Amino acid sequence: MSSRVVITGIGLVTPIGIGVDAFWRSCLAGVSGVGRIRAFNPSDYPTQIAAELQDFDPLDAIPLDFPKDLERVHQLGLVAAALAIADSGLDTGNMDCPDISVCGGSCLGSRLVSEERLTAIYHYENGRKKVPLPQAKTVSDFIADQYGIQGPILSFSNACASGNHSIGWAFNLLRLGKAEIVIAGGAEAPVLPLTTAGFCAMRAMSRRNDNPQRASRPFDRDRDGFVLGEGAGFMVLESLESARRRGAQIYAEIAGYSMTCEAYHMALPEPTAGEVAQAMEVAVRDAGVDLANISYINAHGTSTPKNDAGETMAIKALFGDQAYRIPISATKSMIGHTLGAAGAVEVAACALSVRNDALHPTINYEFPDSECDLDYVPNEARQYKVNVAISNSFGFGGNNSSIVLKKLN
Amino acid sequence: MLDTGNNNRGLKLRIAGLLENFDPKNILSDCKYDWMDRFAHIAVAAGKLALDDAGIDLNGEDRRKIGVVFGSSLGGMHVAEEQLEILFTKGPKRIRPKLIPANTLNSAAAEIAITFGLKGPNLTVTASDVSSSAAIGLAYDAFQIYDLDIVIAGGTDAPFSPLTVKSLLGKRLISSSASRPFDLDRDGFVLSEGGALLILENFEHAQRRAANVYAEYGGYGLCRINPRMNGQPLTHAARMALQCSSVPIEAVDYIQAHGSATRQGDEIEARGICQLLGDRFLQVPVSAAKSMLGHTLGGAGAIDIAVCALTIRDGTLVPTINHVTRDPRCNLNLVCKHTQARPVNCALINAISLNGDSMVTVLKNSGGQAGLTPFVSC
Repeated sequence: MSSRVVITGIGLVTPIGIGVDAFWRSCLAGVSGVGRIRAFNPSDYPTQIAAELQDFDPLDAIPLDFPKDLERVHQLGLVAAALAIADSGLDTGNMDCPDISVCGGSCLGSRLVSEERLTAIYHYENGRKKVPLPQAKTVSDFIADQYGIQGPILSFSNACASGNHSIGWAFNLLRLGKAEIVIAGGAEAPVLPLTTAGFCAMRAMSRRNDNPQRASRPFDRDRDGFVLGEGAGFMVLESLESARRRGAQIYAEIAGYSMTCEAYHMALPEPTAGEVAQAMEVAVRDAGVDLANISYINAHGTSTPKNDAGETMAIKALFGDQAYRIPISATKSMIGHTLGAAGAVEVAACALSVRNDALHPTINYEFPDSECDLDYVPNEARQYKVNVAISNSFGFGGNNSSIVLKKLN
Repeated sequence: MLDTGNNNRGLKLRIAGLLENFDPKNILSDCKYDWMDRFAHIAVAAGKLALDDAGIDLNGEDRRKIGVVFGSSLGGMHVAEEQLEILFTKGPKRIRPKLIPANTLNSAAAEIAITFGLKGPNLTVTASDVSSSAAIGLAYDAFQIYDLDIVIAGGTDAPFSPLTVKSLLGKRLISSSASRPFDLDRDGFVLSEGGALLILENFEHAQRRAANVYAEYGGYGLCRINPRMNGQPLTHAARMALQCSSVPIEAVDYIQAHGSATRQGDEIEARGICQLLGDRFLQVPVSAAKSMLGHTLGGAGAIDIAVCALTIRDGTLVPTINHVTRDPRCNLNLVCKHTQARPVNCALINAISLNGDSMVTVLKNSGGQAGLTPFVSC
């Protein structure tokens, strides 16, 4: 376990921008990607808003020989991976070797039978129309197929922490020497009728239907739930030796990763948030850095009343007085909660902060909440030296994970 | 394997591997099952049985050093189908709040952690038919990285809800007669439900509590060779696994085949095994447990590893039943019809997915020292 691991390519497909530059520009400008749902008629749903990609055409993003009838989640993931690979300068004609691996995360898009597939069969069984069945494959499978990748092809599905675990496990494969390069990230296209209805039934989502762009407001007093988002983030992770050998650009080093479990409840966070603090602590220890050196935290910050208060409590428990001096921002304020993609998109945002020494804001922050009294980088981006950053993701079932990124010295 | 004639749960399957009269409450009564789907019921029950079998008293354990690594290919399809019907007939406001928590793939691993209070690493991996073999492999990796005492690893699948079966039938690989791996007249796999969870334990920890040991986990190889490249993914995965285990191919004395009884799949696997064994291809015995258990999809790999662990412990090779006519294209030393008594020192367990993934696991006979304590639930 000696290999150091670096990020050499980033591909992002989000409601506020496709590609690293477009995404980061919107992030710093504090753009909201939330609007009324267009994927289906949401009139009968308590929540009628989501962060969707408008008029997304995969071929506009990158010229690829796409398989036919790709489900949206696979389109998003494949485009993000292709953008990351192009960004990293890897020779795509030379990727069919067993040293390359794919770790893709998705909450919904990694099952053999997806909602789209199930719906298609349901309609057919009820005599409506015959629709072509989407292929029973995962995002990772399509990426592997596209480039002929021959190493371990894995998908992780750990609810809203899936993206973190994909990147974290890619980090593990690299440091164990089981791969030289891993295409790692997550994709999600959850704005579907059944999934939306499911989250509505849990009363987990914002109902601010009259003002969609203001609905995702992490850490604000008037937050009332998360906003569903679609998107994908993939990265090229490789050993430092491999990156140096081919003279690749380096965004940041991945230095630590944790996965812990609250073992408390399938849908509710453990009220003392002790396990959230534990997730951050284990990752920081894994990275071999001091808590005192943490410059920035990209929060899970979903905009639900409980998550944001709990996450704040955990940061205070772990960092003590220092907590008030660490800037914290929530990418979900702009792109909503992209579930299995969220961890990956947020690690990418963190890597961009490390490279550019800039923090994106938490938008829609209007009213201070006595339970959330830290520096959330409200509404305005900030120039800030970022040496070590933590990216948090917490999933249903108490699946907590933190990833620590460092500037490469 | 059961004839589904009288009890086919609305499935258009003539034969299937059903868990009859399975009630998780009989195994563990004190658990909130209402918010779980069937695959998680099976998982929690198997977890309880595995912990009991290993004789682990959780009260004396550091819960942060106990993890769960789980593999499944489908997740909670029963609740998904039931709620989809409600969505289309009664509207979105009638959807029940349990849909997402019960449907999501990580619910089984999370419910195991909640039920037994396990706060260590908790990971759910999905890779079609190799899901649970991969989960066990990643659990092994987790021991190399994290300070862990125990990992509950394996996986389950419960595919018997009508639309899901319909969706899988679309692949036209399902048998209409019987599961007959490597037989000349094989016509596809028999779909099953179930899975297995194994207790993987750190060597020192197992020694300290004088654990009953089935076998030692040697290592694994997982790869996908692009079909266009004309490679042999199985042999490559096996070589990786053997290298990881520091075992030469000459030491392998038993193979638990994937043998799902599809026409093409068995032939390709047999060719891979022959290529791997070289001139020993008619000496090393091979069994396919799927002849008896059917194909449990994501749960199958863990079952096969558990079967192999029992084989090593008892020195008894399981038969490949339903094998009547030899297929010249599957030229293997197949253990047919009856069990064989034979000590096994080093076994390979194959798992192959329709997407082209090959996973080979190495189990070693540790003479009762170190390793894993499994339970099979199917």
